[in-house]
Amino acid sequence: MKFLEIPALDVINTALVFDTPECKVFGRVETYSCKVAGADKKLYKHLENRYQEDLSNSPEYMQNAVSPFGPMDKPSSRKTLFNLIATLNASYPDYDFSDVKPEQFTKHPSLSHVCNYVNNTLFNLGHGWIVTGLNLWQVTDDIIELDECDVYSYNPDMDSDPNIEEGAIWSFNYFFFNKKLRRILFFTVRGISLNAPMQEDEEIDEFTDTDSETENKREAVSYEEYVMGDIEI
Amino acid sequence: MGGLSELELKVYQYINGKPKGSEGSSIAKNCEIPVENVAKIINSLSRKGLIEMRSDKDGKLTYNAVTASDRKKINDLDEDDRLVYNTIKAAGNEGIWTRNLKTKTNLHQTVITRSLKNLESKQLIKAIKSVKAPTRKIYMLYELTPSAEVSGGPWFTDQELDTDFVETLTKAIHKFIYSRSFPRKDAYTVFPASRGGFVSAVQIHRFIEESKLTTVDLSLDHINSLLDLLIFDGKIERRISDSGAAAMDLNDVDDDEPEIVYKAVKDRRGGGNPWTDTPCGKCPVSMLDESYSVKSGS
Repeated sequence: MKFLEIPALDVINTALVFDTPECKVFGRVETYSCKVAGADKKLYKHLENRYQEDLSNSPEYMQNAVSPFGPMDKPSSRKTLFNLIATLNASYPDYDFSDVKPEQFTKHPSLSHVCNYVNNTLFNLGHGWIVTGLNLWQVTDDIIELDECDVYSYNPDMDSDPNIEEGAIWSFNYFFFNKKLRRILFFTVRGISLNAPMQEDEEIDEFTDTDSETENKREAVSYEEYVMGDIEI
Repeated sequence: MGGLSELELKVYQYINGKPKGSEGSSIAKNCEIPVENVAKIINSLSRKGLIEMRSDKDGKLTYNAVTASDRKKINDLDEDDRLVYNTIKAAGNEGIWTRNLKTKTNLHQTVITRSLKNLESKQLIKAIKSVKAPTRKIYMLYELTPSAEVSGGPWFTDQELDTDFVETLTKAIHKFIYSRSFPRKDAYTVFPASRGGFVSAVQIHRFIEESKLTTVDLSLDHINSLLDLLIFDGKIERRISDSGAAAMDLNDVDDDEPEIVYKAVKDRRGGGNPWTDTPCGKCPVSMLDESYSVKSGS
């Protein structure tokens, strides 16, 4: 997957990071081209091997296995899974989603539902102007042609969710996959408690204590570690 | 191999001959050196970069020879790669998450990705999966075995909880405890409270070992985890016993120390009757003492 730099998205991405009285919001919109790079080939082989293994272990189950991408014995469905996993890997460089199962994704048949959901969420957070003022959907449509897209989202269980690890109270994510253009638009937003530890993408306030001793010791902690501290369970 | 004393050379050759690593005590024995001197020699060898210390998944310390090819590989690394390698090495067999690697080394994401690829291709490090956070990218040195925390110990096979395995074991343990908890002849009787013949964790451990239900080595801690599981499921209970067969059985238990034993709990769901389940509604003690009356809020 190749990350595409699209200047029109920069304004939107800056606008998607803000604070509300209840939470801190971090959102981003990223565009990837489905060009297969070296590491991707390894991922594709890994997925194909896993599929073949599953097929040999329980053939009857696999023949009827229907996933959100369509029947799994069709190579195009497996290709879609591959593209989504590769996008997740590219968007979260500290994580590896290669073993994610197809059932952890859902397909959203209605584009308007998805847009409504996003609009409502942003409006309720007081930032509806991202939709109306910055023309969120117009900009994304120019990049990915929303009407031609299949929309998916990733629904992991608690262990595999990078958002939960950072203490997110809520989050959503959508993959807009345009097969013809061979592009994926990945749109994710999460809301974090005001008391959560510093996030990677967060700007360090210029006025915070720049005591050099404490600054570099800030190790990435998961929300669980932050809350429980040194308590031995 | 210049600059080594005769003893150092002897110790180095011994360690070199043991690819799985050797412990301090065996070095002392086989090289016929008193234990105090072994420490000094080991320090000198490791300062010269010839041996390294590792702790395996049980926390035992072993010493391994650093092979000549490894040494060359490490010396050939550029500054960034070496920093990444040393940080990963310091994490031992717990491994380190890439995000923590970033904070510790203060290197940029692209530099780290390149370093990791480089080190992986040289077979100096490897990526592992942790059962606690299966999507995190964690790296450790190539030769090390992941600790039990990361691999899940005996309960996990290939990153997945082996529920069948756990269930088989807990069923067997429950049966064993049940058989020692109630009198065999009459299903409705129980032992008197003073009876001392309930089973201890040590006895259960021995039972499991002898029954050969599994080839996996289970320690007393593992057995205790399974016992906790049964307690939380409400199938057995824990009691203190300071006398009786359990305490007298094995000499490693202090006779003064009260011992923990386990007794099965009978499922009384079918056996409760409506008279005992309904609260009485009027506290008899309140007739004796007004301060005991149950008024709303007091």
